[in-house]
Amino acid sequence: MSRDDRDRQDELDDAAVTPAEQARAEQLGRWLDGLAAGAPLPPAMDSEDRALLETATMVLASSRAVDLAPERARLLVDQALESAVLGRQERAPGARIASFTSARPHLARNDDGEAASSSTDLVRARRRRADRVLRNLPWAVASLAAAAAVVLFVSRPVDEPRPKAHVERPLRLGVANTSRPADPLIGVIPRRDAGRASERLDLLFADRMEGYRDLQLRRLLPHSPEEGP
Amino acid sequence: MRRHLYAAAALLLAAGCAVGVAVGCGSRADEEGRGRVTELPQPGPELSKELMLGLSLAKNYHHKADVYLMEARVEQAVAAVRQILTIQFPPGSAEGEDIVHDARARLAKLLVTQGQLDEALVVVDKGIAGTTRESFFVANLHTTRGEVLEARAVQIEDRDKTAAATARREANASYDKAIAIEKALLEELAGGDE
Repeated sequence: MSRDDRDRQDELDDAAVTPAEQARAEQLGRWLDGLAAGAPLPPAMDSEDRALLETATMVLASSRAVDLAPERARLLVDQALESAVLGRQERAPGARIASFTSARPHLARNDDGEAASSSTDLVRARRRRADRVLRNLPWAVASLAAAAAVVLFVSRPVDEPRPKAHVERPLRLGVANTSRPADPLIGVIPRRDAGRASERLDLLFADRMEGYRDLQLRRLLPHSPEEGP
Repeated sequence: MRRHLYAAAALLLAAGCAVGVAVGCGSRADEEGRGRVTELPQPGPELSKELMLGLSLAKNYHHKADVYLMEARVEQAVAAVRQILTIQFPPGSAEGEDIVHDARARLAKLLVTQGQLDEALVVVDKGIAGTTRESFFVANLHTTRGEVLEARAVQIEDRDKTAAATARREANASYDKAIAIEKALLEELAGGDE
């Protein structure tokens, strides 16, 4: 607040009090006394008056002890005991403890207020649970995805190496590459050599192996000029 | 004009004939350039792995028998050569038939050295009976049969001269068959050389 503002406020304070202001102040005083005595607020009142009244109540409550009438004090004690006993029986363990303000007559909650408060608590609890779920949901989804990835990796079908497709290309066969009688190679078998089958077979095997190797080697070549594309 | 058309048609026909003759001569030259002249004109199927494995197996059994014979273990050599008769060559393979005939001839000669002439004759006769074509190996079987019969003739000479004479005649008949086969094959091969 600047100095000009403070001067302006002083001027207003020094100004004469109008009858309307006087009446309003008296009315606020009555309401405040009523509140201190335990009377309820009027059902309809100006919002500015209500704010002034609540502020005044708070100032009054914090500045001095509230003097209650004996009937009022007994009633409050009974209500506190009743709410404590019944509340412990009706509410679940860990339920809200009645706040300090509930002991005060003007701020005490009635049954409707408690119902509203419990429903608000339920809503908050639900919200907290939803928040917790929402907070944990990404982690849960990520964990599930990781677990699924591990399971899929472990149980993946093993790709067995495919055998190379053996493409049988048509090869031009020479006589040496074919199966045929051994007569031209061996010739006439003299009588003295009739039992020398081992030597003849060595000769035959070497000859046929030559043709067989030629065939295999030509087949391994990607594109032999002889075979064409 | 008409004469020109005839001339063009004649030229076209002549050119076509020339191209056909050239192509025909070229392809024949290609065919003659391939293979050996002594090979059969109609080659069989290509050399297969099964055939080569069979040949290799037979070769090893023969060498095994050679080793046994170096140590004068004739019975083991006979057993090794017998194994060749059980080899399954590809059906219809000419080499397989030739190799089995040759193994039978060797087996029969080994049995003759053991004095088992009857069994030797059975081995040879089975081979001759299973022949699908004439070859030098079949001729060798007939030659071996003649040798077995010769040995039988010598064996029974003292006991039964008539049977011995019969065996000798049969031996000669076998040699004659062998000679006939060899001559035919030699002529065939000589014809292929020309």
